[in-house]
Amino acid sequence: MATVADLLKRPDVKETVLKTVQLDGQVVLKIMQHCDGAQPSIVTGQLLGLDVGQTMEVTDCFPFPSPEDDGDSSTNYQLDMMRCLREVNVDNNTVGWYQSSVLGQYQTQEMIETFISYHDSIKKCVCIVYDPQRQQRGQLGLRAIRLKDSFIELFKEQKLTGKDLREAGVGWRDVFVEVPIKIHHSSLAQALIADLNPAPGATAGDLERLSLANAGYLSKTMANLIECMDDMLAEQGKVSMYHRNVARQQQQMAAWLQKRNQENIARRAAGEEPLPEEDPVLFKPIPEPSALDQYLVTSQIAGYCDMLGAAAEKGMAKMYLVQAAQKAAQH
Amino acid sequence: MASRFWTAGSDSDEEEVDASEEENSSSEEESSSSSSSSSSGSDSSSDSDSDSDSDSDSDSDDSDAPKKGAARFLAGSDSDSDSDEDRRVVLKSAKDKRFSELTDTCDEIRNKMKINDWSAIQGLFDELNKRLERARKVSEAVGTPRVYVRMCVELEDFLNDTLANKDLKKKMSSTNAKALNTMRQRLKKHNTSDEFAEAVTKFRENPQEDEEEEEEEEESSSSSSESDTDGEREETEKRPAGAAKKKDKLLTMDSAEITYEMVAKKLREIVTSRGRKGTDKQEQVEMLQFLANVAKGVPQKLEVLLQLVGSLFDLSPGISNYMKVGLWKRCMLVMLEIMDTLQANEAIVLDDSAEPSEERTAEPVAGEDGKVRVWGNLVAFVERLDDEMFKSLQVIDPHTHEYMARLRDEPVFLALSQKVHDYLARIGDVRNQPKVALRLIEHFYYKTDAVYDAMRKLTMLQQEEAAASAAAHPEGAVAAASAAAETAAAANTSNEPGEEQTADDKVALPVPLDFSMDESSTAAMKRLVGIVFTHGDERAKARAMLCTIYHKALHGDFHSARDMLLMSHLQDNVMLMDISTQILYNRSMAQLGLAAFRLGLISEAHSCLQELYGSGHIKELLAQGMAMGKFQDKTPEQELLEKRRQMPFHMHISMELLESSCLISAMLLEVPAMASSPLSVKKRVISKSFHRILDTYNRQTFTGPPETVRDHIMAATRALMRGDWSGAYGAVSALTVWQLVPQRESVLDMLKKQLKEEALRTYLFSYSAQYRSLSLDQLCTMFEMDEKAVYSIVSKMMIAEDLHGSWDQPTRTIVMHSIEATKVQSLAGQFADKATLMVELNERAYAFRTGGLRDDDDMGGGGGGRRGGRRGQDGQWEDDGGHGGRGRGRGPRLGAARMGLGQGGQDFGGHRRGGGGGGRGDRGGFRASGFSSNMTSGLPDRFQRRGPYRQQANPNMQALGSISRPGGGVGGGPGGGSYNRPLGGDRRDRGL
Repeated sequence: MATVADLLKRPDVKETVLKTVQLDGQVVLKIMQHCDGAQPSIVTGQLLGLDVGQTMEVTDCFPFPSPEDDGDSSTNYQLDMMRCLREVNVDNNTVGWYQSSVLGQYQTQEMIETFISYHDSIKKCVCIVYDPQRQQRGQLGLRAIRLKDSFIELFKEQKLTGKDLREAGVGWRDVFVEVPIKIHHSSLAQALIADLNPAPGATAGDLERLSLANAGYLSKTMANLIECMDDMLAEQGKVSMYHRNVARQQQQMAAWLQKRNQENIARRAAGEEPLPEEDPVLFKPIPEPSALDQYLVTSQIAGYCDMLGAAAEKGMAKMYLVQAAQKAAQH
Repeated sequence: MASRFWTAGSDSDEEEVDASEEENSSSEEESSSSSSSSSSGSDSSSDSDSDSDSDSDSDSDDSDAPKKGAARFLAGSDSDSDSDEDRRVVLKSAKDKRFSELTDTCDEIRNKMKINDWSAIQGLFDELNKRLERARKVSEAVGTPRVYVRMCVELEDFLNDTLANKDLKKKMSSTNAKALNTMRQRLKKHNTSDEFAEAVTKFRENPQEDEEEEEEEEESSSSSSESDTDGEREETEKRPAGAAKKKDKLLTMDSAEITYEMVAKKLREIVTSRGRKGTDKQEQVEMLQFLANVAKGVPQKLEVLLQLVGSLFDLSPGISNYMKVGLWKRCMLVMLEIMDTLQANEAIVLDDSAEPSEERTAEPVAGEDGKVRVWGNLVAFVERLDDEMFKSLQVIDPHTHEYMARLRDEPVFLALSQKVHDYLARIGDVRNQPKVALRLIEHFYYKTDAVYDAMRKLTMLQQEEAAASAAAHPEGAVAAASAAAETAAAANTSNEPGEEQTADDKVALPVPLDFSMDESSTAAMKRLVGIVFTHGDERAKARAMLCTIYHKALHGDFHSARDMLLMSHLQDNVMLMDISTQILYNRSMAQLGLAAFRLGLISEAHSCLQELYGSGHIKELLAQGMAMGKFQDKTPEQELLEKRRQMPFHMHISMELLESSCLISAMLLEVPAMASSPLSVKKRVISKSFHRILDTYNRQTFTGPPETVRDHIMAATRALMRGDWSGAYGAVSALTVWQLVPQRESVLDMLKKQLKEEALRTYLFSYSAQYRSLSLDQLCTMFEMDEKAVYSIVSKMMIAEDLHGSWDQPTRTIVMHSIEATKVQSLAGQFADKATLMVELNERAYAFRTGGLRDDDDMGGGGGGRRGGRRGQDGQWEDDGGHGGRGRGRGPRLGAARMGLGQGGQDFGGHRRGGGGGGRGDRGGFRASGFSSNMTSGLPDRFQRRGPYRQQANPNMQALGSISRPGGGVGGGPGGGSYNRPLGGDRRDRGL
């Protein structure tokens, strides 16, 4: 199972204190069960476990009731649940939360806000995003993400304009960080698995992986991508509007300065006190639009592009495979 | 009132002061005579008298009644006045109580008015009305007592004062203010009701008289009823005499005795008193009428007549109401008389720059040029008359005979205007001539040939009638006219308002015999417009131009009308003109659109009409009715102004016709466009309003048979979308509006043709994908079109790449090569569009930063430098900034590459590589945009979108080319071959 973690290991994970997220087998199953069950809607749940050095061990989890069931009791539910779990001697230390996503969409403002609010109490909190569709296509739909620390700092100070982010050296890639996942089974469980039937040649996941139908997936992703592009264009519009405003203001300011200069020259000639050449009231700096949305959209787009690329790549490979298989069958 | 002067000399024919009173007294007479006759018959039956006695509280009556009754017999029938007086006394006692009640109430109201207590006034007013009823029952009179009328008028005045006084209104308590409002409404209703309106207006015309009556009334309250009647008697006798005294001298004089000086003096007197308060306008008119008859010399007569016209105008109230038709006709008669006089006496020049004859005592001598100058402004009169006619047509209900009758007056007006126009031309007054010409133009421009001919016939008919009547009267037409004027005047003198109305309407207005209308309206327009263009001012020219455009469009000459509109640049500055000209502009545009539609120029028609129709305020824009003010509240003033701008009904452009023309043109343009690109709905909306209507129509759960214009066209649209031209034609031709179109057959034929064509296009757009090949003959039979037409349409579509197919000449079929894009492909196309757009925006933003591309960089040269400096400070951008120079160099090149691509595909590859390479090199560190730029920067959207399936299509194409080419060579001849080649070749060149 460690192979999965290797497979997901990303080159751009920097040296964070947290290196891996270790999921217990039952956590994965629980998450999958919960998210698959409620599929079209997005559901969330609590992750429990321990923070052990560079790894975050997630040993248990429980789902949150969906908000339409009972909104106000969710905090109570959480507390009650924790108490009950403590009574049965389960790790009752919150380390993060999990949530399902649709076609890899998770980069939202709310996500960041939740992260920030968790961050206040749990420094190393993680979020497990589970994508059921991805799982159905035979890929691992789990990913563990967290916010980059530098970004958290900036967000807390609300320094999110393009300039601030540039100065802090935070790019759009530096908002979310993906942490490799390692799935861990207790020795007993491993023994049980080994004791059960020997693993068949091809699992269900393998078969799904070989499915040739990916047009629906592609078009869906494409549609999402187009939506993202629309958002991006809107963001771009905001920025260019800002630029235009700034330019206009500068023009006005220049005109004003010139006028004031001339006035001062005249005053000096008349022996009067020159007027101040700075006017803080007249020209307030125009607030720069927040770059956060751009970052999120960009990262979303990048996500989609990756997904599309991967799907197309696999599709091609499968096509060749099938072609070769057909040829082989003909001979 | 003026009748007094005519009849003042004779005593026997006693004229009563007031019509109502006259009626009063006459009815009294009747009732009293009947009662007295019965009393004379038998003593016991004097109950009517005793009844009144018991009611009355004046004691003098008891003794009087029988005596008077006897005295009547004694006095005999010759002393009419005496007996009249006596009888009245008898009944006065019965009436008097009621009247005193009325007076009391009135006094009370006046008191309350002083303290501004409206709620009390309201109560008292009710009481007053009740008392009036009672008083009427007793007196059995139809008329309204003066006291009452006076009260009403006073109340109204006071009310208006109070309303005008805002401070007072603010101070009022709420109940008081409420009462005030109720009173206002009630009084308004009350005073304008049939019953009182006459009395009130009469009172207003002549309050003085009333004052006297009032005095007498007061007298009556103090003294006995007998003395009261005496006073009244005296008064009525004295007043006409007194009034007559002033003018009598002149009126009674033999006309031979009247000198020039006297007339001039009188005229001056009238002129100075004109417009003053308290002058009786009616009286003045009478006087002037008289003066006109006795005036010495032609110039003086003219002066008097001109003054008379002015006074007649004064008679009509304000600008908000229109002049009474009778009055208008009288004005016309006088004007015609003036014109005849001027025509007869060529030496006289009417000129508004000439000095008004101030202190002239003798007949003016001719100037050195042998001309006599008389002050007067004919043009102003003509314009006023025109305005009044316009106003009356605005107000009169167009579905009545009254309206028709009014329209019949138009020829006379035209004749007068023509005369004035000719006269001005004769004296060479180029300043005013265009004004009259414009007025004439505005009477002609909206007339179709049929209407014009009908009008011409009407004119001739009227002239014949006039000639016939002139033959009966040997004096000739002019005399007949003046005679008619006199009858009109006589009719006016009688004070029965109802009678006046009917008499006025009956005034015969003969069309002058020397007036002839042009053979056709076009000729008339041409003649008049020429005059306006040579001499008119800017506004007149613009209006004349618009009228010409309208007229030309109306007569189907779309192209020259359009050329006129475009060359005059009217559409650029029409927004700066006055509203009525703007309305005229809108009307012209609408007519232009209709003309284009009739000629089958669908897109022209659509562009003309769409703006008008799409605004949603078409009624307001054409001034053909008030829009329902659902969203905006108009102030009463605005509403009034708008009302004043309305077009009279006979000038309206049919709304339904406009709507159907606009929607049909939109349909013909929009349906194929929709069919051509079903995927991207937002692509290019030709007509928004059409889309809106279509959407609502499609949303309907149940669509019944078409009823309105919209329904019909929507039904046609549905049919057309399926390519069913006959269904569409059926729905469209079922519209009733086509009856309004003069060339109905040709328009319908045009529509049929257009519908077939568009149906063919739509059909090919929608269903070509379902066909492998399509035979030409089948298309011909399906759309009932001839081969050539189908061939040309299909070929055009192929060339425009709307239809993915090619002709196969020998088998006379279209072979389709359509390969539908899959969902993913079309999505990819959309995505590419978006990405291109983004890259473009990015580049622009980048240019903004570097000052490189100067496309829309309004910072100028300084901007670049400043930005460059700034860039140096930004840490992260520094590395990008380093490429600034290169980026700047690249910009234009990329732009050029793109432009080249837009024009022809051949240079494509090289430039793309260049552009793409540039993008990669420059923006290495900038992955996001680098990525998309690599993908799209070199590819214009058109190619990008079609890229995927074009590439798939290509092998097919080539294969097909190779198949069909030999065929073309063998059987189809060079035509087929050449047809094939450009398409195939073109594609291969571009197919990457």
